[in-house]
Amino acid sequence: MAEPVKVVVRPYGIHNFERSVADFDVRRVTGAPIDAPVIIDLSGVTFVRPSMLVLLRAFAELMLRGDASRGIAARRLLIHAPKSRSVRNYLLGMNLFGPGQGPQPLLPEAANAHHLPLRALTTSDETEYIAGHLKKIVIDTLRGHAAAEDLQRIGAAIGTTLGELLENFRKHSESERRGFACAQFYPPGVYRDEGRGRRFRRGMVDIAVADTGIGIRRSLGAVPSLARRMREGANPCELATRFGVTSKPGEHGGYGLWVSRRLCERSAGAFKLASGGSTFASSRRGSGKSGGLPRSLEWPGTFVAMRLTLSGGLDVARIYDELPPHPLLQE
Amino acid sequence: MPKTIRPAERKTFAGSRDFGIEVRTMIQEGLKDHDQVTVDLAGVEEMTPSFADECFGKLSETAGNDVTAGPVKVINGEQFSSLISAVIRVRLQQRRTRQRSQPASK
Repeated sequence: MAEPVKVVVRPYGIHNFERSVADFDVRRVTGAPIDAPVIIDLSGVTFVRPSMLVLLRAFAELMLRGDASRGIAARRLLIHAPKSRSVRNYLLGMNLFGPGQGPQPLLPEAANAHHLPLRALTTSDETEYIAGHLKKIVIDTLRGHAAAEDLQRIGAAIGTTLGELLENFRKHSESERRGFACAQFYPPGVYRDEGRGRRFRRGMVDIAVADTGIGIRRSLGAVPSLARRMREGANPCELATRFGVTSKPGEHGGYGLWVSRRLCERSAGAFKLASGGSTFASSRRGSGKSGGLPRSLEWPGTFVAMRLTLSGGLDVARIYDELPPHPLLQE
Repeated sequence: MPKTIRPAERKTFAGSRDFGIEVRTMIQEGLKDHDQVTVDLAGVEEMTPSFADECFGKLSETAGNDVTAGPVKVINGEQFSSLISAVIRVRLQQRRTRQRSQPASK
């Protein structure tokens, strides 16, 4: 048997998403001899964020099932578990390497769980369940600590963002590859960092989705005007977050990623998108940063991670009121 | 007597285009036999732009005007009024632009 090929996963959060994407080094792994098992080394992982979890799950799926359309063979997969017991338990609770579908997570959720375990995106019922469930987790935790109208506003923003995002992934991957989603709610609180004073942290929700589908460039490339813009140098990920940009002109409105991005910006959160070799990150002031991954480190699908800060800016109704004129790119 | 459709009897999370198509079809079927159809959103906890666009946006685009100001009465959904207005505005704008760009028939 050929020597195993090892993927060493390091604990990056949402702000280092490009490093997380690059860690998987899919081209090197899939270029190894077919009988070479893949080792995912999680031993050095000291914390886990949703952005890393969805990439891990989607990568594992690709390795285990293979993808004949890309000449990727199915392989044996071995996991080196994290040294930290709490991280190991957390990964089990998040359903990592579990069945990824069906109503039951691998382990029963604690009554006060703040996370949404990994789930596969299969049907529209599934996307609605996931979005509704995350909203319930956040609202149940905040109840009694926030005014009713704030709860309503926060619930609407979380439900809308996740529902729209998941629906977007499910509809647009256009392949038999499943996408995966998970989320973590970080309640507000006072924390004491080493060597620093007390710090107050606002409540936050991290949401991440990843698939190994056809990717944004190929999806948008089906629309002639968008294909031309990409040929002229437009970054596919940045393009996909503009209002009205859709791979199904006339049929769909192109709201999904635009609403998600605007909510992140408005709430002083973070929005990150990667697909193939292109990346896009948006700041709280709304000025985005387009980037790229070296060809050798491209992610074979699409990945989005976002952080919503539970602040006054989390108001989806205001975003609808500010809807810009539709660009009619498809005309 | 106007027909009343209650989406929450099926789902309380109006999140997907598939569900939007389902409700739109119910409205269209209702309008065949009634002058007015009431969409009662009581119990609907959340609504996404995809659902609203697929349901109210496309109905308005087909009709050529805001259906919620005419044969489709929406009740108990004040929290979704910004969204519904926005998707209808966009669809009607698209329709107008499309009509302007098409050559006039002789």
